[in-house]
Amino acid sequence: MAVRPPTLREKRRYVLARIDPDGVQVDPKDLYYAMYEAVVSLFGDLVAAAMQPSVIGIESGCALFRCRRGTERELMIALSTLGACREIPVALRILAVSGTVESLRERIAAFQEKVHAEPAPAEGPLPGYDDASPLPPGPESPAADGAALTEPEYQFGGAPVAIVARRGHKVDVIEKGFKNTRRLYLTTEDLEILHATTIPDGI
Amino acid sequence: MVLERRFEFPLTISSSARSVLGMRAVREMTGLCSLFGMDETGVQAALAGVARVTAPEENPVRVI
Repeated sequence: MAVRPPTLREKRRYVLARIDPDGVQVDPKDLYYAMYEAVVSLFGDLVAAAMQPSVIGIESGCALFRCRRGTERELMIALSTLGACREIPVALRILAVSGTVESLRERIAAFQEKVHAEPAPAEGPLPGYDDASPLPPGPESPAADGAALTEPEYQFGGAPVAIVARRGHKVDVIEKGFKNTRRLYLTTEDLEILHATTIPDGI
Repeated sequence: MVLERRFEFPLTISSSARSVLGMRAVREMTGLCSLFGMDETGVQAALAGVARVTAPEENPVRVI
């Protein structure tokens, strides 16, 4: 079957949405079922059939959706009602709408650059955190000998955790160890409280 | 919405969020509320209307 020229093809619109929380693994097929369920429950089968929504893919924590031109507003409204994907609580934040996938991929690249432009966890202290090291270097401290400053130890629920990502007021930590590892999500305020309670000479 | 436009009583809307995943942006709330006839101005007024409901500027009963 011959491919139609672009002027004769059916017009589509592509929606770019960020998947919250960061790092959650969502299968595109499960996301399609969740999205279609949201569209059908909100607008009904008739609109869903006219909309022809689909999931193009998931790239770098962002989901690409496709629908017919003129129905992108309904698709975005339906996506804002989506709260879980295969019993995993997720939220979709609409970033952009475009007529081509390529332009959305450029937006993904720009979004990733913006995310990576933020300071890495080991580069600087937390907001409201006065120094890079919670313990002042004493005479017996390795920092006093010129050694590099290490990331302070944090604990959550009695278990040591390490910072995975830090974006804005949200800090993702993962429990240290090779068994029963679970991902936790903390805010900066939580981390400050933990830091104040776990460090002996804290606040 | 008809009664709200006619009598102009304070109206507020909420996402009932219990976590950050339940929170919605103003644009998303505008889209959702447009399904039942609320325009963007009304949505912004309703989102900012919690203070008007909890602490009204004037008494609900007008003394004549």
